[in-house]
Amino acid sequence: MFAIPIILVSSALGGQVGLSGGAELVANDPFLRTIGDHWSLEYAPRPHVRFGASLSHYPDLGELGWKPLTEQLVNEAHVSPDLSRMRTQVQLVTRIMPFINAVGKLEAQTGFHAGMGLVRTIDDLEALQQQGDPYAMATEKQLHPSTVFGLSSELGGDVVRGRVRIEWLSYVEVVSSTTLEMKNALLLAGEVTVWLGRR
Amino acid sequence: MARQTMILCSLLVLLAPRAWAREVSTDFAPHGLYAAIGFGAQVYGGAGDATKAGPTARMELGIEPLHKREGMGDLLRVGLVFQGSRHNVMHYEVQAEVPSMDGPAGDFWAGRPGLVVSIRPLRSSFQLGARAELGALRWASPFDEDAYRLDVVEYLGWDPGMAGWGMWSAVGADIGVAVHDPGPALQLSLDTGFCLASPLSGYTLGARLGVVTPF
Repeated sequence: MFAIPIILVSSALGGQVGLSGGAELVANDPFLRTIGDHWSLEYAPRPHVRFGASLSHYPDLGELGWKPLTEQLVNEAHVSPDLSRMRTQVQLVTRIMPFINAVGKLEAQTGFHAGMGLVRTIDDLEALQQQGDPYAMATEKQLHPSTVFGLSSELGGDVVRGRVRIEWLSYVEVVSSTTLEMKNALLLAGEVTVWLGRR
Repeated sequence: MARQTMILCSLLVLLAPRAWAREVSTDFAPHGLYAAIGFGAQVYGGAGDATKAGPTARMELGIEPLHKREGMGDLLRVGLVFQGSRHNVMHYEVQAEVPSMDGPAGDFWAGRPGLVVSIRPLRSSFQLGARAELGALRWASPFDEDAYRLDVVEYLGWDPGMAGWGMWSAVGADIGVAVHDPGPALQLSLDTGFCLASPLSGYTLGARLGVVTPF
């Protein structure tokens, strides 16, 4: 339903609308495994310029999401790192793909993207051993403004394309009301895009 | 992590333009609009020694008002800009020990919506331009408000605030290399300016790499 007005606008203005779905993971978190699904809707007034909105969701893996370092710290040393899980992020992104070449019958496009959005985090109060602590509970669930920038490459035909992305997402999170931490997450992603409309 | 990053970087390189790839007939003919993105670092000098330069991302979208006049196309650009940055600050208990403590308590984010006017008198495969910007500035720290009043302000002995509005202005230079001429260009942008938003008030510096394109 969300896509319908954008598809209508693109029909009126020209250009293409792309619907993407894929998977992404956080590659540089030493404490947690964060893997999720990613969905986006893009409008491309020209083949090398895209404006889009994206939604990523990362399920709570519980203790399965702990990396070995976290297991050691919590279970053996009985201390906990500041475990704040990124659960959802939404971004508005501008993507410019200036490098366009044909590889056989397929087309490859590479470029950059930057955007702004919101990240929703939920703190793991059990691992933090702060269940019932009013300070910890006050900031257990939070929305944070975020910025993202990265590099992406696509390969495919006029309608279906595969895309890989590497991007840096930054936001400031808060644990236990007064512990602020700046997060710079390195995200790796793969997705498939279906393009509608004429180029 | 390193292995995953290497695999993805390899894929990006494989898909990037290669000598063996044939050129696609690409139509970059513009409609009098332009878009630009950039990422780099932003400094708020007024935030004090306890604050580090923050990573910044920026989006710009606007028009080329002289587009229909022959040869004038992208000489002048007028657009809307939105820039966001995150800044790492010492923990407030460490900040309290700094003798001339100023700036926000703890990490903060800053967002800058504004207007930008740029001119590019030197245009070839190497491009040089100048830019002027003006806009609003919003900054905030994500403390819990009650805890901030009880703990942070109590500890610091004064209240730098958790959030604020202000304004900023900047002038800068753009140095570009055309990927296609006319068409997209890779661009290095440097700027300096002034912001008025207590307790960030002071000079600003920015440096970004990005890409700009007419469309």
